[in-house]
Amino acid sequence: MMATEGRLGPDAALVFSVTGLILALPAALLPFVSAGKLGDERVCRLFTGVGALWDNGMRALAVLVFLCGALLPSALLGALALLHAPARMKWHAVNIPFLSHTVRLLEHWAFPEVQVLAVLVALMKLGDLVDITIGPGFWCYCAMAVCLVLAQRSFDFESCHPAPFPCGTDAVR
Amino acid sequence: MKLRFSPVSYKSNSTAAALGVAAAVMLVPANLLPVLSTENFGYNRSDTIFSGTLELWRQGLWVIAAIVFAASICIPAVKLAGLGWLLLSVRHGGPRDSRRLTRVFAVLDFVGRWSMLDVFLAAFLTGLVQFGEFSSIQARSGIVAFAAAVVLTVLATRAFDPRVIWHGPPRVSPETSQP
Repeated sequence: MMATEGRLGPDAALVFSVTGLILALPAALLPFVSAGKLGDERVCRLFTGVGALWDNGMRALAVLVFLCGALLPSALLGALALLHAPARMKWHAVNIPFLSHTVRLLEHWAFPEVQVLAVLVALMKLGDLVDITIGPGFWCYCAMAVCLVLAQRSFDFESCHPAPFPCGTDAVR
Repeated sequence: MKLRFSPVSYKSNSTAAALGVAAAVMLVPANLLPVLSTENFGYNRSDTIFSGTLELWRQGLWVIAAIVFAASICIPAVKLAGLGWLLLSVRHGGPRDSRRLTRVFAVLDFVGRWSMLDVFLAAFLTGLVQFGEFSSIQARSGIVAFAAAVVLTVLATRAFDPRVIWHGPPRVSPETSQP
């Protein structure tokens, strides 16, 4: 059965992926970081940087940041949840090979942990240039990134789809 | 409808080589052009990846400087060098340490994502520090070239088929090679 082989127990991957999906919403909506300078305060959310790049004319870069930092991590969590839910909920309509392939693909382009590190580096780099307050959105995003990593670690691809995968990276995992 | 995947699908390592070369080309403007410009009380400053890292070091933020240096300068270079080594090793055939090459591929596949650090950093700072004439940070063209280089290195690693490390390149039968 799916998700029963993980080190954290049965259904761990499902729990982590659903938790991550729930956390993705406040991560996107709540303030990420607030910056103050001479009485002026600016609240930054998850997509503020994407919007700034878009407005600067760097639209391809904005799309890349949006995909790798927000959309694809959520899609990966959704795909992982969909892979695990049928075994738990007794569903039969999910196309397991397609979802497994999607998860393999998304894994290479979802970088929430890199964005967390980037924000921490940015906060250190800003130093005394502005006054920084970390908002709840950032903590939710960190928790979502952790949930994504744990969901990936808890999931056993082989028990879900024993046939060989077409992806080239499978041979080394 | 159920999708069916072929159990063996050899990818083109020449595609990986081409993408690797394209990434190497993009790394030139990425390292020469400014990636960020900072304005603080009328004082303007533009930084390339290297000068930004050096500035962090001068400010005493050694750990941060080391992280940025590793993610933005070392990893892309190491990844391209490693990919080149893999491609040359499987191209020449003959005896090779397949286990070591497989480990190298696994490391390259893992570390590649961390190069995106500078891209996320630039996006975050551009969104956050916008205080008009007092203080502002803008992303510059170098970061676009750097992001392109990162994407190309990830695509190059994805295009490389590690199974040829163990089995050699796919053989083309005379029947299939006929037009």
